Amino acid sequence: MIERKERKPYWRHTKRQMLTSLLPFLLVLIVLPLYADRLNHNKFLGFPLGYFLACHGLILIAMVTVATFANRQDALDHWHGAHEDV
Amino acid sequence: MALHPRPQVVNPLLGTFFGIFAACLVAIVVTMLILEQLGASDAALRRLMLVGPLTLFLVIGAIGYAATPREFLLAGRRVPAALSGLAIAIAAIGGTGLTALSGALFLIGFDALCLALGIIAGLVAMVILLAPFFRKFGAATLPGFLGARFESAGVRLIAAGAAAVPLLLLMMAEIKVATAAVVWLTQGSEAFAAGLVTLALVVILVPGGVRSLSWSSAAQSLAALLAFLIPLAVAAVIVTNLPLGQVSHGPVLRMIGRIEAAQAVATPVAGALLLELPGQALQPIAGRFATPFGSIGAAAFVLTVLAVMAGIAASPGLLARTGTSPTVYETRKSLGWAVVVAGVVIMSMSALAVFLRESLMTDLVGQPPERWPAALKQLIDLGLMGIDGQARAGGAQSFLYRRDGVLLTLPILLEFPAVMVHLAVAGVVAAALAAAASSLTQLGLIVAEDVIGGPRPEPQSPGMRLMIVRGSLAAVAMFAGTLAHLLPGDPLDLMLSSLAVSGAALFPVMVLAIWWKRTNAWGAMAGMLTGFAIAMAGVLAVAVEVIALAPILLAVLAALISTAVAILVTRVTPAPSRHILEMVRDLRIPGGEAVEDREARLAAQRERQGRTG
Repeated sequence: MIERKERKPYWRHTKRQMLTSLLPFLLVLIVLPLYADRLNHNKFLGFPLGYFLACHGLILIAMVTVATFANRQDALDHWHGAHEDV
Repeated sequence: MALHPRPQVVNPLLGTFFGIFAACLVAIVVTMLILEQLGASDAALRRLMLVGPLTLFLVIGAIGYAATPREFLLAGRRVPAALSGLAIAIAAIGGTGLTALSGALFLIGFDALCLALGIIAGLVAMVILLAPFFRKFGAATLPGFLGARFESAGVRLIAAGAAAVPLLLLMMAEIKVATAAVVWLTQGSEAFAAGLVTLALVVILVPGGVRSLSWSSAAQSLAALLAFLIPLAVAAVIVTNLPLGQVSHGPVLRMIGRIEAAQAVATPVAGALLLELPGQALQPIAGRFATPFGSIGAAAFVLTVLAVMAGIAASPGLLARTGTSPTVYETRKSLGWAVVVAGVVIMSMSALAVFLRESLMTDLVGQPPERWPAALKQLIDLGLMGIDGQARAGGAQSFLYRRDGVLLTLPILLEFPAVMVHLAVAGVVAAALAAAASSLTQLGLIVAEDVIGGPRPEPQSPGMRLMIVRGSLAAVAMFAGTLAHLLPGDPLDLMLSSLAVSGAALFPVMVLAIWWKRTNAWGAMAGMLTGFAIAMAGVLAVAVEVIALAPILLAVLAALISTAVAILVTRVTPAPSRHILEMVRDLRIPGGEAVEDREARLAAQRERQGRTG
């Protein structure tokens, strides 16, 4: 069980983790498709690069974002004693 | 210890059970392939392809029978991350996504990615912003969560109304898709198919509510995934010699690009706010595959991604599913799996679109009619393709495709056995059932728990509660089935309207309720009402053709205004009580008892003390 004085630092770290996970992902999500046309002149694995990044690339980035978020947030929970006792 | 009930353990045999289910499914398909070679009639094969998987779903729904409210409303919180993630991903994409999104990817190419990316981003936003806290709170419905968080019956009722509309729209879309697929398989009337779909939903869900939903829709999602990926893998082997079409369609895409350039296929330049998604009619491809912003402008692309993201993240049917995980950590993992599954499906859809473009560009475009594939006539007879007499003969624009039939056009063109085509249709039925069931269960629970049972001061007996939920599940299914049958509408438009409403009305207030503890009931009510009103006005204005802007584009604006109104109203009204602040602090911490469980336990304790004292 979490101690009372740990609650504030825990929430501060959780907020920071939320921002570091979400903001870069949102930035890439919004900006990358806008440059797809210019990137399409390059090739990667036979794909036009812009299309590859907008489809496969963003999906991979999303997977990595969620995986690191789940692991980092779990580590935070344990560090502050906020984890579930299972 | 009595104070902290041990979390329910996940059944270790689940993997075996679902392995048996997948084996049964494969056995059905292989048997049918053999029967086809032996000369079984096509009508019998079609019916078998519907009845076989459907029987399995019905059996699984019945096995999920639940006798206590905790099992019925939360599946006993025993659904492991992988299965729940699989089901959430398929419910997010749904039969609408499988048919309309792969069709849109084929017809408008790159631009249709805005919907796909929105779905992926919505799952990411859900896991980071909402789901873990929703799970820790322990509510079974989204209005239940908001009502308890703000300790306000008004918030609960408004949230119930704001959640009911997107849930109904989504169910209508999915039931329409399932109906069309069942019509293909039974070759019967549309009314019969709609009745069959509604009846199947009721029979699967009424025995065990969320418990039946969890297991049956995990099975449906598995079936949909297999039925989608297996024909695609075969097509990938034919086209690229590799079974992994998802990553090997690059060279094919470049070849298409060269032919598109040689054939002078033009991509128009869309205005920044133009959003032209393909409709249900027969139509030609809109432009080159990999060139962006021909049918959807750059600004509209970004706005659609964001609106779909908000809509998926706060979609009540999906968010409630995360409440069935055993722990908060498992909730985060389940959405991780959901992103993986949805990602694979989306990459597969784009591979499918590219393979079909390849057949269009190499077998049809520029070829004399006598060298067109034999299957073309069959496709035209089925209404899946057409030929435009007005366009330049043999040009890319002269071949017309039906958006929702693209999933079947490729296997028919490649002359697959008929069973493979029917398998793809059965996959659409399974995905549409999974998505419709997810929304239906949530709406049934909302009607029973938040609208009928919510304002009552004294708790009902467990038996009474279960009876009301079962009744409202059945009633909601009948209602949605009737609406879907009677009202016209394009499933893709219905799905986007649903996402626009949930993103504008629910997403801002859900985020504020968790991340800003000062938010009070007045702010929440004002925010939800504003977002709902603007989004609905957009949907209705487009329906009666007052404005030409797509409602999904208005959703981002509506969400921003809703956030601003919620913050403003909260600032000028009194701060929430100490009890609420303590509750919000508690819901932010994964460890300890679920907030709703504790409140219920304390209430029961108080009642006992009151009786003895």
